[in-house]
Amino acid sequence: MTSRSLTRRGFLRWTAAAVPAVGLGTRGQPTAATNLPARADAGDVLSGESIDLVIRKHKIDIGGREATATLINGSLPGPLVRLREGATVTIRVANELEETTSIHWHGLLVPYDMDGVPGVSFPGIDPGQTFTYRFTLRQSGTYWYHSHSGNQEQTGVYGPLIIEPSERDPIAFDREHVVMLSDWTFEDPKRVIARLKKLANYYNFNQLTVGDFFRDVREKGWGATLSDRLMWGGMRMDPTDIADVTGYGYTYLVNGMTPDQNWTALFEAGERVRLRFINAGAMTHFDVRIPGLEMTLVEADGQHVEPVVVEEFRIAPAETYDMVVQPPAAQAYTIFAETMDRSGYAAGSLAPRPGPRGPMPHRRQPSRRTMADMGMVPSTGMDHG
Amino acid sequence: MRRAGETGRRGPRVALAWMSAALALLFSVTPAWAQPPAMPEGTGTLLAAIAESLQTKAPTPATPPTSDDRIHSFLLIDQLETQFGTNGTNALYFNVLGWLGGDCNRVWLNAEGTQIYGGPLEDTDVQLLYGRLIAPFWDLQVGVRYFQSNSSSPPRASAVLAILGLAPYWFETQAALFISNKGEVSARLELEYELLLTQRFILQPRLETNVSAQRVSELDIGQGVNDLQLGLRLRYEIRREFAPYIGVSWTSRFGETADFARADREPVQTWSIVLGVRLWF
Repeated sequence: MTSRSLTRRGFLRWTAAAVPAVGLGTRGQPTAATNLPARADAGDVLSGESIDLVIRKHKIDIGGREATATLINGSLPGPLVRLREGATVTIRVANELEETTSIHWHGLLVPYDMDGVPGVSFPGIDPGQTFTYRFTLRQSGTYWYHSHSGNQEQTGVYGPLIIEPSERDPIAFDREHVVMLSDWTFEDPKRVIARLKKLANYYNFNQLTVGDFFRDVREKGWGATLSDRLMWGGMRMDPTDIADVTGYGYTYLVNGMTPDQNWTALFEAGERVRLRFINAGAMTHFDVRIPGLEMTLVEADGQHVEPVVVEEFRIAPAETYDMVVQPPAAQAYTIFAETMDRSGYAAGSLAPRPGPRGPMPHRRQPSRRTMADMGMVPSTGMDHG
Repeated sequence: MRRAGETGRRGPRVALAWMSAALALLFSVTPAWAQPPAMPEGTGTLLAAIAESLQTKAPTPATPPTSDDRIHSFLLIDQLETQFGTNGTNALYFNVLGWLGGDCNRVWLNAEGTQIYGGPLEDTDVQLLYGRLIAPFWDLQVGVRYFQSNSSSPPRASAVLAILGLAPYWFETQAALFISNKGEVSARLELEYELLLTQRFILQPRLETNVSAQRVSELDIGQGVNDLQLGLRLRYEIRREFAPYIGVSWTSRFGETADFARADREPVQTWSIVLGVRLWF
C-alpha cells in the first residue's frame, strides 16, 4: 500500500503511523483524572494556536488509479485540525490554485467574515493570496472544513476538524478514529454537471423496465401496478431516482481509500473505540453499519446526545456522527458504508492489526421512493399537477 | 413531408404579427416561480455596512463562487439512419436537435434531411428558435424555419411558434405552428415515448403528423391532415451518448396530399426498415 500524500516534505497522513493505510488512532482520555490525551500517531495532525494550510492541485493515486485533485497540504482528506474549546486560533490559508478558493468551517460558530463563503461573507481567497482566519472556539465536537468555491470540495478540498472540550469530555472512550466518508469522481465535476443538464437520469442504471412492470403485476396485481405507474407518470417523477450521480460515476472512499485499499482502524480487544464519522461527500448519503458490532451514538454534528444504540445509521452529506463501539473480541470487523441508492459502497476495517478484514456483507437491493418519501399522502387527494 | 398551405396577400404581415405577439408574451411574463425572492427590508443597508467593514473590497470574488448559472450546450443526433424502403428506395435520413443556453433561456436548432442514395439532399428543414422555460417541463419557442422539399420545389421561410416538452406519462412532445412567407399556415406534432426493456435496450415508438390549413399545389400539399409517420426503434445504449438502433418506419399521406402523390407516381404509403445510430454530446 502506498503512502497517500505526495508533497515533497513527505507528510504522513494523520491516520498513518509506521504502517500506511492504518489508523492507530489517538488514545482518548484515560480513566484517571488527567485530561491529557496520549498521542499514538504523528500523522498530519495540526493543532495549536497557529496553523498553515496550502491548497494546491496534485496528481494523486486513488485506488491504484491516477487522478488530479485539489488538496489541502497534499493529502486526501486534508490534515486533521485539532483545536481546543476556548482557544483562539489563527489559520492561514494560502491559495496556490489558479482560481479563487475558500475554506469554510462547517458547523462552527464564528464571526461572519471568518465563515469562508465567497460572495456572501468575504470575497474569497484569490490565486496567490493568503487569507488569515482568526476566531475563538466556542464549542467542542467533531466537525469538518472544506472549500466553498467551485467544485473544489468534490475534488478533494476537505478535512476533519476536532475540537476538544474545555471541560472533561462526558464521552468515555479509550481510542478514537476519524472515519471520513466521501465520493470521488475521476472526471471533471463540470462535465458531470453538464451531463446531468442534458440527461437527468444519466447515471441511473436502476430504472423501471418492462420486466419490473410485469413483476409488480405478479406481486401486486394489475390495478395496484397501473395506478402506481400512472401516479408517478402523471407527475413525470421516477421512483428510482434516489441519487443524481451513482456508483456508475463515483468511487466511494473511507479516509481517501477505496474498499480494496481497506483503510483500517486499529484497536485492542475490550477497548471503547470512538469513531468520528464525517460525510464529506458532495451528494452521497451513506448507510453505515459494522456487521457484528452495535454502535452507540453519542454525538451528532458536534452536539452531545442521549446515547442511542444502533446497528445502522444513515449519514447525509456534511453530517457528523460519533459512535462508540466496544468490540468484544480481537477480530476484524468491516466498516461498511453502502450508498443510499445501493449502487456502490465505501468500506474499511476495524481490526486488531492491519491486514485481516472482516466479512464483507451482502449488497442489498435498492428500494423505490414511495409517495410518503415525496411528502404526499395519496388519500388526501392532492393535486399532482 | 412538411408543406405549407396556399397563399394569401396578408401572409407576411400576419406572420409578423404572430411573432411580435409571441415575443411580447414571452418577455413580459416571468412566472412567479422563476422570480428571485424579495429581499427583506434593510438588507441593502446591512450589506453596505458589511462591505464597509471588510478589510478588503466588497465581497465580489474573482471567480464566481457558485456554478449554478453556467451556459451549457447540447447536440442530439436523434436519428442518423439508413432507411431501406420496401419499395426498393434506400435513403439516408438525419434528424438533429441542439440547444445552447442556461436553464431558462436557450437558442435551439432543429435540422433534418433525407438523401435518397444516388440523389440530392431532400426534405431539408432547418429551424433556429429562441426558447424559454414557461412551466416545469415545457419550453415555448419562437423562431424561423427554412425548408425545401426537393431541389425542384420552391423553398419556404416560415415563422415558427412551438412548444417543446415532456407531457404527463413521459411523452416527449413537440408541437409547432408554421406561417410561411407566402402566408401558408401549417402545423406539426411529434410524440416520442421510451420503453425500457432493460437498462440499456430501449424501445422508442414515435409519431409525427403534419397538417395544413390551405392547399398548396406548388408544394404538393393538400388541406387538412397531410401525413402520418409512425416509427418503432430499438436502441442499445453502449454508452448513454452512443446507441446504435434498428427499427421500422411507416409513412402514409392522406386526402389531397395523397392525390398529389399519386399524380406524381409516388407511393402513398411506404414502409422501411431503418438502421442507424443515436448520438449526443
